[in-house]
Amino acid sequence: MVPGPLGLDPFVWLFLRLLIAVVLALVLILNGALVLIYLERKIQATMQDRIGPYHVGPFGLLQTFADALKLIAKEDFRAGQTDTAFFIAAPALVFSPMLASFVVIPFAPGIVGADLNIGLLYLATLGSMGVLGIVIAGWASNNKYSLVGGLRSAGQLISYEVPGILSLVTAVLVVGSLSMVRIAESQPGPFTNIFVIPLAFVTYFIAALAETNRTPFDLPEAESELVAGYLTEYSGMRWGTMLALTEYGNVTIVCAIMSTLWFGGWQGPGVDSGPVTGPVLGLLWFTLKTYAFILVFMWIRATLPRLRIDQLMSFCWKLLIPLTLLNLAVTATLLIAFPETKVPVAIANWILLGAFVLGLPLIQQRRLRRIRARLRERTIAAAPAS
Amino acid sequence: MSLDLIEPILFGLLALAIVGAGLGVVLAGRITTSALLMAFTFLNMAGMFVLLGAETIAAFQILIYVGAITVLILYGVMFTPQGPRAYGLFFQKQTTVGAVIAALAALPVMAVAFAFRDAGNVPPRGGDLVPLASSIFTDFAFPFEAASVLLLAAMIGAIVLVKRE
Amino acid sequence: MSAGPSERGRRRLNTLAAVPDYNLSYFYVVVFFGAGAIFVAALLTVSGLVQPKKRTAEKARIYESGEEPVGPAWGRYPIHFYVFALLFVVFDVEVIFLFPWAVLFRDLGWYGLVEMGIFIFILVAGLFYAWRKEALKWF
Repeated sequence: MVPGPLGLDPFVWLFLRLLIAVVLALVLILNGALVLIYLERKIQATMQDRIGPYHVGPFGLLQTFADALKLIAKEDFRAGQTDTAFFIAAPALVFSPMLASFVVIPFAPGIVGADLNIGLLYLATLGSMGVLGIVIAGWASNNKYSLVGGLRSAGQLISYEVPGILSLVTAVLVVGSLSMVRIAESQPGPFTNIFVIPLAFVTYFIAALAETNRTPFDLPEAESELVAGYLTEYSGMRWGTMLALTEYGNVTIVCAIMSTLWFGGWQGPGVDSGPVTGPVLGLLWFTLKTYAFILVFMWIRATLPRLRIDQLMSFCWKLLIPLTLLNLAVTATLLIAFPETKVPVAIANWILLGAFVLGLPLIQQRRLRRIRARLRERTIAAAPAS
Repeated sequence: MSLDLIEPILFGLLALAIVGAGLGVVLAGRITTSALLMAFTFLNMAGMFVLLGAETIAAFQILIYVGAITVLILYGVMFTPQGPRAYGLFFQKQTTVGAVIAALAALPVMAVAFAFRDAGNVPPRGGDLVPLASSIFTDFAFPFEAASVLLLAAMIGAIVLVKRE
Repeated sequence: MSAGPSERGRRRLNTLAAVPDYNLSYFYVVVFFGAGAIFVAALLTVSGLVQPKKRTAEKARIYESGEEPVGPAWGRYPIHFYVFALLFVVFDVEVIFLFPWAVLFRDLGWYGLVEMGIFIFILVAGLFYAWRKEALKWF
């Protein structure tokens, strides 16, 4: 047991640390959601050549705060036959795994909630648990739209978990440990893992977009689809927690994972400098990297159109999973064949990435040609013999 | 409060939760409640694994059982009509025979479990990933490959079922 | 003590809220889960205190784009939900075996690689079978 500062009793210090950690995580999520919602609206507005919120507060900075107050004060009317216990429990079932994910993320050298030996596996597990909350939400609403929307959303989430976790495993191959702290520590200097396994990064990025229900995979929350899917019957703050907080929390976690695994997390110039300046600088680098990815997420949302459910499922099972498995096989083989250097792995990965990026249009063209040929045959066959 | 008391208390709580949720699975009024109580049982079992120091197995338990199998069962269950189940299904003539057989089957299990109560070399807390890995891929390589064939059989079975539609 | 991080890491972890111990780590996990539930409950309670509560019969109806809902929300649904869930279970188990292998694969060498390769190959064969049998279509 660690005695606290000023000679505090170890038990008291333990609970204080726990309290600080929980409060920090909650504050991070709340403020994160506030900042991110504002950023999202402003960025989308700028990209769509309009202004976005600007009435409430200077530059509309207090807009999200006002929205949160409105949500809290909204009337919570529940349809009659909803399954009450599950209906009420679903937001907590979706929110808690997300909050618990913050325990293992290393924010700075020395600042991590708990350095679990299985950190990455733990994060994958929590992602899995979130799916259950969504199914329950869709079911408990006793609404056909919600049920189908919930099941479809769950189908999308579980499908994209596989390439996501496979990409993470590929990164683990290079690093050699599941502990997030050790993953961050294993990439000193400018040559972080992105230069070694870029394809795994790209596939994880795509899977992360799908896991967090972000465009182009945001079918479950699309305004023009199934009303609002599994969220239809949730109003006011229930909707607030289930959608806004959880989604932006998930986006933050996923971007934190990406920055830790492929870009060194809190690594950057100056983190070794001292017991105080080191962690502060580390926190700065971590925040910058994570928010850079979050901004890319928002950029993508403002730019790309949405995929249909069958397009996104076939993309996952027919393209991403074989690709990630191939990446895994190649990386593992090269790492065993050349145990000392990472250069062959890097070369092979960049080649595969190039093949993927350049090959995708070619595959699409071939599929289009095949579909057009089939259509032509069908119209010729259907035309009356004249 | 002595730290040594925490482990038995936690064990007791988890065991109560497991047994209670298990009873709930059988006795619950609606089948979705059963499915979700089953997921709760799995969560508590994962807690037991953590208590034993097997964090990797606990994570596997949640990842597979709560994350995948519960969703699978919910998909299957949500397509069925949801009337409240008659308790007559549970308490009928065959219940006594079933209870006797279950008790008889439980006796050898308890005997075997009791024989292990002084088991010595439990790996250190939190250190179960590496021994697990080395034992799966060296001593238990054949069951590991057999597991993949089993999974293949499950996949093909599901596809055959779908194609019959 | 548990098999924790390296010595350098252990020294660095004794700050703010870091916990290098196994028991305490999972205690943190449980506390965070509980905190999540409590936070949501608190938020909804605050909302419950502040909101107006004018219940009308119309508000208790289920939303179906203005139409009256017919029948219960369950019924027969297409089977592809189930197929994808089953495929996910299979690949989830595969991923589970990949985690310990990935941590130890250098020590297992070529032998381990071939083992894992056979395992993955068998499951990929299943995936291709599903593909050819057109079970991967989501209609």
